[in-house]
Amino acid sequence: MAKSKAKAGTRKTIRCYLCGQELDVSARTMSTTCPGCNKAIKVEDLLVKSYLPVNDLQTCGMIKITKRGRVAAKIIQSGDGIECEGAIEGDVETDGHVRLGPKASWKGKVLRCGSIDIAVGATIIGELKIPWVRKKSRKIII
Amino acid sequence: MTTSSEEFTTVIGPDATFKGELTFESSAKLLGKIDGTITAKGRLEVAAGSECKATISAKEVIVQGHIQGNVEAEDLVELKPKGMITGDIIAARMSMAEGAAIDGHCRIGVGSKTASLKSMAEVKPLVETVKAK
Repeated sequence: MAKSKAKAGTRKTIRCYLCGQELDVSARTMSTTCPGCNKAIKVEDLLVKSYLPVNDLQTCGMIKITKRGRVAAKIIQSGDGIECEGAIEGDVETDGHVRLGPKASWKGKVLRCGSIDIAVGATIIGELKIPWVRKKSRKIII
Repeated sequence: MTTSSEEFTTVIGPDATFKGELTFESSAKLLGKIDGTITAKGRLEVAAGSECKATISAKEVIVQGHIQGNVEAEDLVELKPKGMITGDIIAARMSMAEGAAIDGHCRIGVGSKTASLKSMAEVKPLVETVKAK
């Protein structure tokens, strides 16, 4: 009889990047279905090590872009923030913190985030909206 | 206040309201209300409580108050915890503290020294190119 043995404290609260719905999930969850919009959402952290041309790069976790990583997307959405040492092209939306390393670059229409840390040497081209907070909706526990 | 104002050759006090064009040969600290254009060859500090509805051009701009207008810095734009800029920013470097706010177009880093606010309108993200593919 296999039972889930999730310990107290191994759960985390995430917010759907599509509808803003808050939900409680296990810390090990990689993806789930949002009860607010009934759509599949990613929860895991993403690591970009090379060139990644996509339409949307979305996760409730964190997005890390290494020195050789380059993301070209229509929209990049993250719940826990973005750490970038490489390049980002596209609109960025995150509830968390954005950290741009010394050789990082961002180019897009709008970058919305809670806070930002720009290292000397980083390049930014586009509109910044800081601080930005996604609209909250009621919390659901799964 | 005496120690901080010693660093600046010009200090515009909190009870001052200025409308027009201001030009500083070196550094300046603004505590009052300014409406117009500000040009400084050195460091320009917009202190907490100060309100600037101005187009600013300086070597270094330190923001603790509120700037409503475009900011062009040859070197650095520094936003302190309660600093706020509503307008476009062009600078070689930018530092932003937790609690600071920006609402506007930015051009920070390479090539920003040669860029002008007029050229910012021509910037198009590469995303559109990727999408077309």
